[in-house]
Amino acid sequence: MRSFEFLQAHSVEEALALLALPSTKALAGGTTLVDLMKLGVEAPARLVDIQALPLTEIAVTGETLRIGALASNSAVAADPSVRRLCPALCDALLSGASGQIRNAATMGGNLLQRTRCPFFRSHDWPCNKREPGSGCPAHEGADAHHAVLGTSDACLAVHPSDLAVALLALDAEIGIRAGHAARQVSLAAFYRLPGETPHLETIIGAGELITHIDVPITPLAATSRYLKLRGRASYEFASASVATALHCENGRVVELAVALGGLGTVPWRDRQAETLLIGGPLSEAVINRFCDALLAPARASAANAYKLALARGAIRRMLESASC
Amino acid sequence: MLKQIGIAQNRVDGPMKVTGEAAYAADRRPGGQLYALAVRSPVAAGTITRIETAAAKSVAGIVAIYTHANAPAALDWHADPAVMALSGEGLGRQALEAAEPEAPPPYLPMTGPDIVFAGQWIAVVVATSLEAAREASLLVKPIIEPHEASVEIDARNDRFLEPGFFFAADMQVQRGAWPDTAAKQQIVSETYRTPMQNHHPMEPSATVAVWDGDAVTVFDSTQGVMATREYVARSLKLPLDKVRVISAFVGGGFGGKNQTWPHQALAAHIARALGRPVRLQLTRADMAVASGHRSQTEQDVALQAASDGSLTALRHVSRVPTSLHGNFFEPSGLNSLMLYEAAALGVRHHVVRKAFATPTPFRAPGETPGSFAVESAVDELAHALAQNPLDLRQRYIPSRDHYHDRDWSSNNLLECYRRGAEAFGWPEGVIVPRARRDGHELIGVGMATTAYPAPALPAIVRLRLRVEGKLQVETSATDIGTGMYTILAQTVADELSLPVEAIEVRLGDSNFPHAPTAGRSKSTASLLPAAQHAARALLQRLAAAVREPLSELSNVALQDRLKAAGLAELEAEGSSTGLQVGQQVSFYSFGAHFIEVRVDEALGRVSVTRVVSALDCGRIVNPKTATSQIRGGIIFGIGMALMEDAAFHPTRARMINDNLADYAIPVNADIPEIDVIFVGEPDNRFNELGVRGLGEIGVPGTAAAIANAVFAATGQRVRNLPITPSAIVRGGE
Ligand SMILES: Cc1cc2nc3c(=O)[nH]c(=O)nc-3n(C[C@H](O)[C@H](O)[C@H](O)COP(=O)(O)OP(=O)(O)OC[C@H]3O[C@@H](n4cnc5c(N)ncnc54)[C@H](O)[C@@H]3O)c2cc1C
Repeated sequence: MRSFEFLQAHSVEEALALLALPSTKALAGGTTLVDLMKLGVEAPARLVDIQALPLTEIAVTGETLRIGALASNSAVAADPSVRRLCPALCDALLSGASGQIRNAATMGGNLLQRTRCPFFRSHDWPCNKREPGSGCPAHEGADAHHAVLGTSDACLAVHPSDLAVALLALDAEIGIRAGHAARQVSLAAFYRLPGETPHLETIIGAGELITHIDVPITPLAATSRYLKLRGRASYEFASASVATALHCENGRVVELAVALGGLGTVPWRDRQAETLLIGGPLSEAVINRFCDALLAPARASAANAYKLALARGAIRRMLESASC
Repeated sequence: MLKQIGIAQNRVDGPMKVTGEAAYAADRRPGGQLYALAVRSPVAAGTITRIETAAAKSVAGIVAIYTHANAPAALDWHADPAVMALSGEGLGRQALEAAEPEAPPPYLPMTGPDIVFAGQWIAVVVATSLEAAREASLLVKPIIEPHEASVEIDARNDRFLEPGFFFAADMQVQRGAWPDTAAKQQIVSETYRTPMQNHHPMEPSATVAVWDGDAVTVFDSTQGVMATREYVARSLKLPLDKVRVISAFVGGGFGGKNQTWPHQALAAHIARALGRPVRLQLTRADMAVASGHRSQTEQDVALQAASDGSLTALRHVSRVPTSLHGNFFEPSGLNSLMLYEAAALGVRHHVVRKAFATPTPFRAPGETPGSFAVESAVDELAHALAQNPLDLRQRYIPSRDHYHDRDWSSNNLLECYRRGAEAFGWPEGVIVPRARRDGHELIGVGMATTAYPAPALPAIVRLRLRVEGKLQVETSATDIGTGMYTILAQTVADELSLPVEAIEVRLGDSNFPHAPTAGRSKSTASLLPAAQHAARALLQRLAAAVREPLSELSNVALQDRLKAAGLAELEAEGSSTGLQVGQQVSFYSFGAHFIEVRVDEALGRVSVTRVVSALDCGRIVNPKTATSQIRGGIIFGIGMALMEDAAFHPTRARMINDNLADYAIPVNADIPEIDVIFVGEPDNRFNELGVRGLGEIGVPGTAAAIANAVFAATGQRVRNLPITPSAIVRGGE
């Protein structure tokens, strides 16, 4: 691991000032960043420990649930109001990592965790995300665990966060501070498709800080759920996952949200496809049509086409078991 | 009288392990210790033209960087065939000799510019801290001219070798003529595949070498300190008594620490050259390539049976790889030879050299992949015959060891079937696939037979009675998590009528009396008889010292007698002889697994929901540690059936998932209650206590029982492991 300077910030302003230094990264729980530094994938010259910042709130204000960027994944998952207002958020968090890691992991860090693609995580494979222009071994027929949605010739890496999938279904917004400016970006606009620049993953700039996550409080959010499929019962990233929320009246769908994880280079949702389900009863045929539309842009190989089947199975299971 | 033997005794080393008091190899921190890490080749085949080390050398704290350019001279580091024959590279050479009279030159890293597999060590960096070593290891840049390489078995085009004897069996058995396909014959003829697996014990291997003048102490994580001592001493060109190997605690080995590997000697070579203690630590990625693995197998199994089920012909042809320079291959036909008798029998092995690291034994080598194939095939035959698989297997119980033409010393397989089936509630009649459903889940049951040899080798145990303190038991055997500390204490306790608490067992030091490497389930039967003899010898010496008849000594405090005799301490040794050559009977353990699975086809999910295993492993010394061994073996089988697969990049021939995030093994949530039943008949022709080892027998058969249960649940026969979500949803299409 490359030697680095370790700094501690005591206020948001101080953190932002320190983060403006070159080759500097925020250190929250460290469960992703320290790993990647040991592996030689990240090598910042400076780390700014932001754990002392007052960004751990979990609060309901009016129509919004606000979660501080430094709230731990465990604390959020165990919070009764989060459970009541948006259960998918708790379930997504609880489906991730292990109890010990969730205790250390923060919400901001979770959103900014990096792909688990083995080629990215090992310094001596080519990888366009780690080292732009070096190539992509997954594209050479080693893509069994790679993305089928939002891929490019440069990159097939899956976005790993379960939390982000739930937040996408919940129409969450991310609060960001840069210098003195604060902005709020919807999660749907937070992640960037790899395209020709897979090393650029989010819209957040160097020196910026996530301060909080806002989740709108709606009746739809209260129906949300999360299902994660993978090769073992726990402690593994998703092969496919789905966050759903469904609001029906008189047997007809009024509102719904379906977000997919494990298949995309970014958390995936298609609001256009969702309109196929709105207004009518939920039949097998219409769910199939929705899946067809949602997965139409997929580029799958023989090795990873199973992810499409898993996604369909998961969506069908979630929608059919919802009360409508 | 047996008071302690047969009691479910807690591990005597348990508290030390959970409090961190037990010192594993890498926990030793001799003063001035340096940290060494390896650099692996990213390409599978090629020639190193240059290794750039300037950037690595500029890291603060770097002491040395060794590559093939300087290691031979600076470290006296050479691939001496006689030394390499002692290592993991040499195992299996005799078997391949007939087919390949001229051995390929032995592989030893950093002795030449050739790259022969991806992951090969091409440099070692040594630094004053682990962090500096890690940073420097990332900065070493090899320039390699790559060549073509393959790790895939190609049944048509590969050049296969036909090995001779291996694991005490002919690898090319051919008896009787394959019968013509007559009417009323049921035939199964299929190909089964098992993937490469990594041992990945919880404790990655590490070696700490500390020199004192011309002698070296090596703190190591090994299953065998004596074999390690010999390898290290020969490599250093030192007499044996100048090398001491200590491996008091081992965090799992599973075969990955059974043979010796280059790092164990290399640490001592580097420490000698630098004049400071050196710890050479294998990373998790190193563990995938630098201490062996279970290779993939491809097995054709054909069975022919008359309509009543009697077996008329069995053919089991295994295509198994070894490395370009090593020799070990999976003897996957062993259980077909030992368990199934047919007039026409063909059990053959074809070995092919591939550009990957040398494979090595992995918990129940041979039997594990082999039993997946043959126990799946027997299940397929049962379905073809419309018979219950248990009924068919009862018909196949081997009345004797047909292959070696000997009786069994004891064989309670029928009792295993009976008690296992009863505890499980095994169904009667024909098993109809897809007949049981609960909500979204299909339920199926499967079973398989397991069997494993019961070897024994000579061993010596030393006892030391002292007027104060615990009675000491010493032997160089290792406890790799099996419970050896505890069962030795139990055995000595019974012989001397002492409580277990009065005994201190000391293991894993090459200065202690000789014991074999802990592997192939032989330690219990090798060590316990020696411990009994040592205890009896001690009593005799004590009786002589106090001039009392032996019979008077029972029920008195031994320490008081010692004091009365005016002695501070008294030592005695006992030995065991191992198996005699020309044995009259065969010593084997048997068992049966009964497994229930639930399959959610739409979600690609297979859950193992119930396991009952009934085993015949002789007298059970400690039901607690024994049950734990069997459960561990079954969990290995569950991992093999559903998850484990060391995957290679198709064109670069390099392992992709050389880490525990991408190489999935079961977590607790994957494991149901596992009910282990020991039939428990002592095997008194084997040894006085009637005990056999049981570290491995839990593994064979488990994966087949799961695949058989998946078939019963879904009607889908999976012949290529592992049974992943992908395999399940594909079958559903
Ligand atoms: C073994 C293992 C298994 C896992 N399994 C799962 C899983 O199944 N599902 C899942 O979703 N996740 C999983 N994770 C990932 C885990 O959720 C993340 O590691 C964790 O959430 C990261 O949070 P952290 O606070 O530790 O982030 P850090 O490691 O501290 O930081 C991660 C990144 O975010 C940046 N950062 C952190 N906070 C801020 C902020 N407030 N503003 C700006 N930048 C910030 C850091 O600079 C860094 O680049 C797993 C992780 C491990 C190690």
